[in-house]
Amino acid sequence: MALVSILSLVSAFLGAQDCPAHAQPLWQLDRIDGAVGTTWISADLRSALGIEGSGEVLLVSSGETNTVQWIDDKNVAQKIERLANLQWPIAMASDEEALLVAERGAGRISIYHGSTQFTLGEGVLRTPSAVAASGTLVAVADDGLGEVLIFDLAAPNNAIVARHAGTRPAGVAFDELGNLWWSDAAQHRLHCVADLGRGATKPFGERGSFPGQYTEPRALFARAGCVFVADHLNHRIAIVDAKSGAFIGYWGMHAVVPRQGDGRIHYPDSIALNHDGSIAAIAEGFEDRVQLFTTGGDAWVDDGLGSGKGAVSSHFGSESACGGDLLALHEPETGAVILFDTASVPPYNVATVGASGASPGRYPSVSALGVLPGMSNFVIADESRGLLDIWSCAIDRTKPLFWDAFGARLMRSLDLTKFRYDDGSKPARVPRIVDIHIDSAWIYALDAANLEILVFTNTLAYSLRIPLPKDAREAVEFCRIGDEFVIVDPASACLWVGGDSRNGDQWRKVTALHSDDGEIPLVRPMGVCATASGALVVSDSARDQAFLCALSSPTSTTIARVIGERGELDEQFWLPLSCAPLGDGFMVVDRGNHRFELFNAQGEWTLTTSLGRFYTRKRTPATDTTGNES
Amino acid sequence: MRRVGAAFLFAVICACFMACDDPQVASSDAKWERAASADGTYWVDWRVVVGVIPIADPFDVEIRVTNYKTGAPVNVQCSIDAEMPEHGHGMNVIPNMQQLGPGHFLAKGMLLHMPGRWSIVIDATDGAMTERAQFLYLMP
Repeated sequence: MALVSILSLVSAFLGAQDCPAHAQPLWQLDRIDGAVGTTWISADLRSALGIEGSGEVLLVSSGETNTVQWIDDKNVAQKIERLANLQWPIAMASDEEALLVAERGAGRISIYHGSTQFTLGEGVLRTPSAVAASGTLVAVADDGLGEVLIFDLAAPNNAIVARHAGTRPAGVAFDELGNLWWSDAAQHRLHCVADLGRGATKPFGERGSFPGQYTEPRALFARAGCVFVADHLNHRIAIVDAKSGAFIGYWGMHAVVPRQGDGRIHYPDSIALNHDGSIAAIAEGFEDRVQLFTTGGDAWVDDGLGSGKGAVSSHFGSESACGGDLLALHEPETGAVILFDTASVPPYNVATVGASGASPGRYPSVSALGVLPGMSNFVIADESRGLLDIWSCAIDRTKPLFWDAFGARLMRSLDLTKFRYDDGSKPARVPRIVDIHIDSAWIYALDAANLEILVFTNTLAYSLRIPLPKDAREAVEFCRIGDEFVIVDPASACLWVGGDSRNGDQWRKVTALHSDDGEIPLVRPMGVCATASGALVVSDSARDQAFLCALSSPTSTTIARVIGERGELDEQFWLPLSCAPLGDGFMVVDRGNHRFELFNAQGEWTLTTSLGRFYTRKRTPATDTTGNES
Repeated sequence: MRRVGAAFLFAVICACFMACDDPQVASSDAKWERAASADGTYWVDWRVVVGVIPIADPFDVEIRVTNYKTGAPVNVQCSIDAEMPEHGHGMNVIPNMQQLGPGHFLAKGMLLHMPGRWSIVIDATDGAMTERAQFLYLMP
């Protein structure tokens, strides 16, 4: 072991020359629901965890089944009894002796050391997204806190010895040179911190797809002088020289249509190399799979599958809003906001605004959208620059609709980095607005950083704040029904209902929806909206379903209709996210199929659409192509 | 007559005070363009110092930002940009903004590098709040 460590260190000091600039597809492990974290563990640790067989082994964590599984010799995922009851195990790290699991749902790090187990960070962490270890130091990225925290297991009470502030930290790794690397998915860059995370910081990168640029970098892995970056929205693994930060190369060719694989990478969440660095395991939660690559070799030769019929022309993410006839959707890959006129069938793309940049009206990380009902105005929030902006989009209905490049105009922009409450005090963190709800009088902004709702006038003048319940851990989307708010908290696998000042700002926790057949527990709720008639719609990305709740009370959780199942046809979903009311019905973003689907007030499917393609007649498994395209 | 002369002298002094660090600005008689900022807080006036925007050559823009109701100069920060939304790109340069006085600016080094429809945007920032005035310009 010592010899291996010395060789690794020597390799690290030699620099980038040994970093594998290319890799070759080896194997694809499908049907690992919500595969998000990967790590290879030693033979000793394998034995301590009770995993049969010998030698190092690959572990995969699943954010949907709440388990960590091991991959057997036949490349089949097998349960580990000791790791079968976790709360959203989003990331892992290991050394010779210990396995560390970041449990996002529990807000802690679980550490398995031989036969013993203990936890770290409970009561301190909110929503950990990554973990790394070096000696007695444990680094944790926490996107809810917007920080990287470094704990020292040798210090009294495992004290925190350093903290680094970011916007949405998503990856951490220690290299052999004594640096801590961490990624900020919202700022699209890496940070290298000397002295194991306690020294000077140097940032690398910006949003983009050229060498040295990143788009939502997530998990990191360091080995032998190389840092491997899961470059999520560039669909590749970027390789960086740990000594200089210089770009070395990248692996993987973009999977251009969903389910494409065999070396093509789609939204990588994590990467881990085995002990000798010969095999890399890349988790792609978007595709419910892990791909294995052998490192080294020549550059990938284009397989000719990069274009053609069926190629995707647009992507949709977790942000959407609708009001009147205007529908706004975020296109995460270009960073733009796409505007549709919903009075047309299919919805007509009337304007596109935004995209990345540093000047006003540019958004490196759109984090929320809202539409002012009846005013043709809409609101964009950006988490990386801390902006809350109002735009206008006048549609001239006396003329045939067309895509008007000049149709949307920035009206007013609020710099949230300078935000103050009305008493002049600063919030604990720069507000990170993740959803917007607008009624005739107010703009409500859901602040995930400070876990509160900020209320503004329609000219962005601050009015008041409404704290979320103290037990809320994550907020991604919300709506307002009557005088109450409904908050989606995926980390707690629940909805929070309340916030009405007349009942003392009391909140109720809803962990399951109800039907005649019993309860349906929420697993990973991601979207919520209220229809025009006051019914509640909830999407659950782990269940690949949406639920229309009955109108027995304004916030009834009695299911009137279960919508969808996993699939790619109409009225099917693959990672449903945002919901928005649309006319009498509603819309659900079907992220994993790069489209959105429309439903009427009864929850019946009416339309599937994206840019350039729509279906109003339901396709069947046999034909797949019944319907209409444009 | 003495009153007219005094007013003229005052105007000349004001003009020199406002633009005395750039003789080219002071002597320009180029036409002003005007628009209200999108949320109606400011008037934004601008003109090309040399009169006409040259094709693919640098030019400077003089800007005045005034209160929409009173017409008085306002103490704001100012930035200018231009883009071609139909092509998905902007300028290839970043202009250098100089403040000549309250609400009075000179943007040096603008460059529209191709013919077509450009959107010229001027942003006025007061503390945490920014408002935008937008102008359509067709480069022949």
